Amino acid sequence: MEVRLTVNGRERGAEVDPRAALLDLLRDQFGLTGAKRGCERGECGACTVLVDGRPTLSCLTLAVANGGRSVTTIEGLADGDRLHPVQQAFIDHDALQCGFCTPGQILAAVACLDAGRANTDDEVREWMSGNLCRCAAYPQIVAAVRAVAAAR
Amino acid sequence: MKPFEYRTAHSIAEAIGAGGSGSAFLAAGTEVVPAIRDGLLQSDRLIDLLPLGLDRIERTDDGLRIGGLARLADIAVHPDVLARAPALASAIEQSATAAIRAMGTLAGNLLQQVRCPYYRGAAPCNRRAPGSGCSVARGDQRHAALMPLSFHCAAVHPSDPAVALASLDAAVVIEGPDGRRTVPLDQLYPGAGGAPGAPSVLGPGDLIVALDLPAGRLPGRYAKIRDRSSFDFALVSAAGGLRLEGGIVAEAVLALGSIAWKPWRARRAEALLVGRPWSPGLVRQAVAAELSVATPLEGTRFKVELAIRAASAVLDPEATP
Repeated sequence: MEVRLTVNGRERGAEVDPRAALLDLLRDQFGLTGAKRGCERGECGACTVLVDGRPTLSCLTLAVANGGRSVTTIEGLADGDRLHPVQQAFIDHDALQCGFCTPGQILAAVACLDAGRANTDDEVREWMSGNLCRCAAYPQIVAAVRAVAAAR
Repeated sequence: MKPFEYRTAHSIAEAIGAGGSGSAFLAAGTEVVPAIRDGLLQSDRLIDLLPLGLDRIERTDDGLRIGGLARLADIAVHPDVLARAPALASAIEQSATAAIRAMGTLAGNLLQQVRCPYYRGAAPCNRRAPGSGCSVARGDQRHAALMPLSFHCAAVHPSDPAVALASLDAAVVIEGPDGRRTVPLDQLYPGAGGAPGAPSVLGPGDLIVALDLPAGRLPGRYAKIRDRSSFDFALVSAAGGLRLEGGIVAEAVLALGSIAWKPWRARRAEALLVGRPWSPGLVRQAVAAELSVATPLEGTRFKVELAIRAASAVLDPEATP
């Protein structure tokens, strides 16, 4: 089936199997490998992207069901050479170790901040509980998100 | 490879016509997509409902109507929901994770499949493989029902919003091949003796188009007891509230969650509370009476005390000024 959607501001089309997840389309056909294939059942958050601004687990939505929608992946978050404030905060606070979960963490953090739900450490923990970090960089991730919230 | 078809529905009539045997409705996909991957969904045709909209939250002459495809996250922050049904907003915010709440629809949440560990494994499970048996009797009972409605299955219904909706006397508006009908929320799920594989009373082609919340109900609260403080299903939950007049309970509402394959509206407990002077002991006594018909398994006995504590948290006069 054909699907046409906007990815990181650019309109794109592809021929996909109707069973393919949005994650498969992004990684395997568009070469956008920032969103990671982790659990493939909505339990780890590594595949988090934004769809029409909503935090979305790209392993749990079919590619064909996203026709006409606008997808933002980690590759499209920076403004040219200028990192998004959340990306910069992750660097400043050393909020990663191996980096596998980081693209999902950052997009989940953007959604948390946009929803205005980064007012306390506990609120950030609750709003980002679906993004697992096996290196356990959680304190630094919370600090990074809170720093961006404070600067807003 | 097995052929597989995806199509979109652009009207309710078209969706109903395309539904039925061999087809499954698709909304956000958080439930259906992994079910396809796990081979748990038998259908080979998906009907995508999202183009229908059906996501409005609007005031009606008699309360509030929430579209079946409204996203959970949008419902939880809607001013009318926060004002009239805070128990629902709270139940949503204690469900799943931010991304799943942002994606998932209310109807999809109400129709989710069982979370029993044996359903998604190879062990006997009457829901996955009717007639194979239920592994709970000799297995892990921590998440099993305190009040099983069937000998075939000891699973609980996992939805948090359903429990809040039951306490709010919500009605499910269904459109299907036989037209439109309305079912009280706590009758959406098959009762005792129902087919063990059926997650709800909906038939082929039936579609939840809206939830109606009548006006004038106690707004209530939601209390959820779980093993982890976030991103976990309830061991037991409670929704409801009360209104006192001079220390006497004038009105009481209680629904218990995760004790059966449906939200359990505790009408016996409600009746015992009304007309008596409120005290923590009275609440304990009323909930114990409600659950006195339970025949707990060894591994679910602890849920009686959890239910009393969850109910006590919502039936607290400090909570409903």
